[in-house]
Amino acid sequence: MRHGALLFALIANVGFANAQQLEDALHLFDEANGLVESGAYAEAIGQYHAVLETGFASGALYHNLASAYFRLDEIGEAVCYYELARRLLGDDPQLLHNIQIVEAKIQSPFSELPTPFWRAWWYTLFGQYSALRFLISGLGFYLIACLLYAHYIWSQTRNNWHRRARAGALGVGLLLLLIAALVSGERSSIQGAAIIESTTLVTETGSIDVPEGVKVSFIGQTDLGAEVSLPNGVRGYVNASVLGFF
Amino acid sequence: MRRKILLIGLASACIVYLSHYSLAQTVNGLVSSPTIGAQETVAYTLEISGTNASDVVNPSPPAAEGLTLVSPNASRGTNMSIVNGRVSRSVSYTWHYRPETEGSARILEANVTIGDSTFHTSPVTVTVVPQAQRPSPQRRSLFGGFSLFDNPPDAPPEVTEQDIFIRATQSDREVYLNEQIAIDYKLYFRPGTMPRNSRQADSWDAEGFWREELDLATALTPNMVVENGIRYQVISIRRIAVFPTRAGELTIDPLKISTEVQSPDADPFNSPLFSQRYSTVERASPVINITSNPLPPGAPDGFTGAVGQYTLRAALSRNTLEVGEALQLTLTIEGTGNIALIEAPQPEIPGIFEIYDPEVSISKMGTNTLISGSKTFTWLLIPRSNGTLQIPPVKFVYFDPSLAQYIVRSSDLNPITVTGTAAAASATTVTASGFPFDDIAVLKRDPNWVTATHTPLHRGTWFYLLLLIPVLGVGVTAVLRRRTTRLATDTAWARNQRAHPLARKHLKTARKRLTEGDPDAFYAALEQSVLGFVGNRLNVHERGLTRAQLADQLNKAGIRTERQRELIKFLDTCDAARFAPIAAATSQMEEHFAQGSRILSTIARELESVIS
Repeated sequence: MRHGALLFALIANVGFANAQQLEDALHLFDEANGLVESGAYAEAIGQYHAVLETGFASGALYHNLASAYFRLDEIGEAVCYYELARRLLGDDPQLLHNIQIVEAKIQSPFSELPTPFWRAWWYTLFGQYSALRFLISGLGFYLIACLLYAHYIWSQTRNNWHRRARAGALGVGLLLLLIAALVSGERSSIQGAAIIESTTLVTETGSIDVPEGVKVSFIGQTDLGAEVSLPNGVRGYVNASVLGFF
Repeated sequence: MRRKILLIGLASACIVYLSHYSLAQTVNGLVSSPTIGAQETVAYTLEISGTNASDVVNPSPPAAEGLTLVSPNASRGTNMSIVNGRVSRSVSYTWHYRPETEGSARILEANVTIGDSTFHTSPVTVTVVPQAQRPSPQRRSLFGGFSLFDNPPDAPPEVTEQDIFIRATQSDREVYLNEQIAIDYKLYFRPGTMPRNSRQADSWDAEGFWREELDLATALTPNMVVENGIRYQVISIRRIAVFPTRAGELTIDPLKISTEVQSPDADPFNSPLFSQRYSTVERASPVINITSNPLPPGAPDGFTGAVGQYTLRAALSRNTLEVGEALQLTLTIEGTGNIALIEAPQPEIPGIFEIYDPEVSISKMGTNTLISGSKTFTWLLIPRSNGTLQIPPVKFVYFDPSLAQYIVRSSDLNPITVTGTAAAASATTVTASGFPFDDIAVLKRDPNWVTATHTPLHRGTWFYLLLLIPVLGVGVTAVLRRRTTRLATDTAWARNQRAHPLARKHLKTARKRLTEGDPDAFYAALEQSVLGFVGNRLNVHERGLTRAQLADQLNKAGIRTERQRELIKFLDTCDAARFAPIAAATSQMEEHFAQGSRILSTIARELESVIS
């Protein structure tokens, strides 16, 4: 009885602290939005980062942070945070509009390699939905499959339709759960990086100037610096401090 | 009278001044021709300018190699002229030399003593050629030169390389990469050649160099110089500043010109109607070789290749302004070097400023000797937020070849105070979706929080728990189903399973009856509890079971005799209490309840040990 009370108190305390943090985050978020509206973009950026330090994030926060950077003409940072926002907001029309505006300002001299077909398919099929949607749907089918199995065990129903329903629900459920795991894994890993400060890419054959805002693929950290791949596929090394990961 | 005295005084002062002005003394040794025939003589004239003849100690004829002095006595001449108010005096001594052999001959230096000073001339080289290679003597007939009925006049003497040539002088032969070299192409021509219609004969290139033309004087005034005993007039025909763009041995092509000249030895009277006879000649300067050394390693950050000597100035157009107003940051780099190729320094402008590409202006100065000037970069800055802002010192790095080291110029800027707040950007047009046409839609309001550090599903324990719980449910269902089936089909097992719960149930009822003070019901429940437990465990119908049958079943089950007796005695006690005329006391019932409980547990233990 005593242990139960302690456990309840602990859970209540954690819940209360969590709620307090969330309230603080919301308060800071509103303050930062007000600073953006008044044109104090530099201060707003500081407030948005303070929100992130509370342990909470949101697509809207990343979106607004990117907008503030854009207003200060820090295109690289804007690209980075808009991409982070895209992970949480998907194909939000306002976000896509802003990304289009930002990309029009980037003086990228690099042509882009075509997106691999499997990647395009993946994005078309699953890129627009969050992992949570797939998780909930998958768990629903999975539960139905388990209930059908339980019913089968209890009632010993020998019915073809019952068997198909069980197998179908289990298959669909597991597939959706697998997709949820893949989408979640993909969105929580580093997808790329944006050049936040114009730099020089050192390749094996020479060096290439890379303007601010260009999105690159991060390959890994080496002794020569951060190895990245330009949109046209050229690989080289840059100082890791000029990369904004997303 | 007084005015006359004043005028005479002024005139005397002028003459004294002019005489003094003309006293710059020069001594030149000149020859009549740099090339003579084996049977000709060459006149060597010692020309002394800027002095009176009386001050000159009669000079001795200079010694010669390959030439023989015809007569030690010099013919002496004096000259005085006033040109543009300048008085020039000169005295000359001329000797004649005869060649000893064909080939190269030299007249060595001559020494001239003027007052207390002694002057020396430079040796002069004369080329002696076979007489057949020299033109025939000119006819001096009064009409011979232009007679329409006489034989045509002889061809004029050929214009040689010694009569007109191009010389290139360069400021340096070995330089650093991108260091400036000034090249001056000068045309040397003998006074009689009178070049005209000069033009560049061929393309000129300086591969590996950045080139800048230097200014030439619009009116070309020849200078008089003496080279190897020959008097030449010299004009600069082209001045170029070149900057090597790569390291290594580099070559600059010769500058070729084509010009019309006449022979300096031609007799003006030996041509029809005294017309001067011009011929076209081409001349080329020598090839120029330049060694371009790479810049030393260890260039500071920010070095973009500027080489020369520069200064840096930085200025802000204003230091106080409101959000949205514009100010200008101007950087001026001034000095000597390749101004055109200087790249804009990169000032570290705080992100709060909207910054536009710089306007660049170049101003060149003093471009007749070396390229110098200034390059100005002007950035337009518009603050988008308020506050006191400090632009870090602007740096410009260049390499100074004269010091052979990199120089970092730095210029500080005052802080900028930005007041006010910016109005929200308003777009005049919107897209079909309602967003600004050419601007971002700044804010989104609904935060929809997630944790900032997102853990992927496959790394979360709860994900696997969610998967496991339904499977456990299915497993539990299977177990329950199996138990239900066995309970329905296996009576002995079912009774055995029910023995403990039923015994507990009857004991609970007995306890209740004890509390209620109902002895009959108490003892019935107590007996039912013990007897029912034994019957269920041994799978026998306890109702109607005699004591002997009970003992027999217990015996078969392996229960010890004393335990059997104890059980039967307890059952008898219960029967006696149920049917006794006087109800049992509560304390007695409690004692029997405890006894029944003990017997139940004892028999349960013995049955467990027997079965196991």
